[in-house]
Amino acid sequence: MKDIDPSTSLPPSSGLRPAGRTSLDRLLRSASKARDESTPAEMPFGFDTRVVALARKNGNGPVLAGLFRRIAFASAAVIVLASAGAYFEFNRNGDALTGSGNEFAIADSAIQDEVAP
Amino acid sequence: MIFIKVFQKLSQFSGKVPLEHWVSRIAVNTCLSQIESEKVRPELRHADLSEEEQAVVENLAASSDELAPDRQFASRQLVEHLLEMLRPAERLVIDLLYLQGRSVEEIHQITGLGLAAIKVRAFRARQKMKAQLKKIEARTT
Repeated sequence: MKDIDPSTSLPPSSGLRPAGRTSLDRLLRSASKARDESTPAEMPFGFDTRVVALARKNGNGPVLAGLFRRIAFASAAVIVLASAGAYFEFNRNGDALTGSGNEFAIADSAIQDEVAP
Repeated sequence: MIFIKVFQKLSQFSGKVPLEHWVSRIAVNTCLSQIESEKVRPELRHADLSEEEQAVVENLAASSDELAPDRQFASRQLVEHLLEMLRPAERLVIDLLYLQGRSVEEIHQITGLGLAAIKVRAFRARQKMKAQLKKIEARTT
């Protein structure tokens, strides 16, 4: 290459010429360092876009509405089951208390019968 | 730019074609428009530069030392301005060679260009960038 710029600044690995000190060389070196730091870690286009696009595609967001409806149904079912369980437990404990009350009365009368002359 | 266009036009997505095809079409159209618009390249003016970029130009003109690390971002923006003045093929070579630090052999493998063609493009692009930078420096000093 006869007409290659003598001040061409290339990385040593490029196989051309060593780094120069012209304004452009220094500017490019500085810019190359900044470029490494500002590269985004991931593409911005991803799952969220697909969800929004799918929602728009079906018109008025029925996918998201369906999702919320399912969540609401699941929540309601959990609340009903929990309430029923709590009610059942409360009733069972009430029976146990009543039963144990009778047992105490029988034991008390038996003791009094034995102690009494 | 493509990402923003996709979001702007999401309401126009009918769902008749797969999302990937629709996005690809937007990407292709955006790139074609960009190439069309780049055919007219106005000269870079000093007033177009930000204060930080002007400071970088002043530093380059005033001293032969390397630029300070806090000037890296501004210098990158300035380089991007200069790259806008180049043809896409020249810009590609400069980007790969200087900004990404790839070797001529690597660029040959990536782009399929001949080694001599890469060197010639890099040389011409550098000449253009140098001339442009000199003009800006002359207006600064």
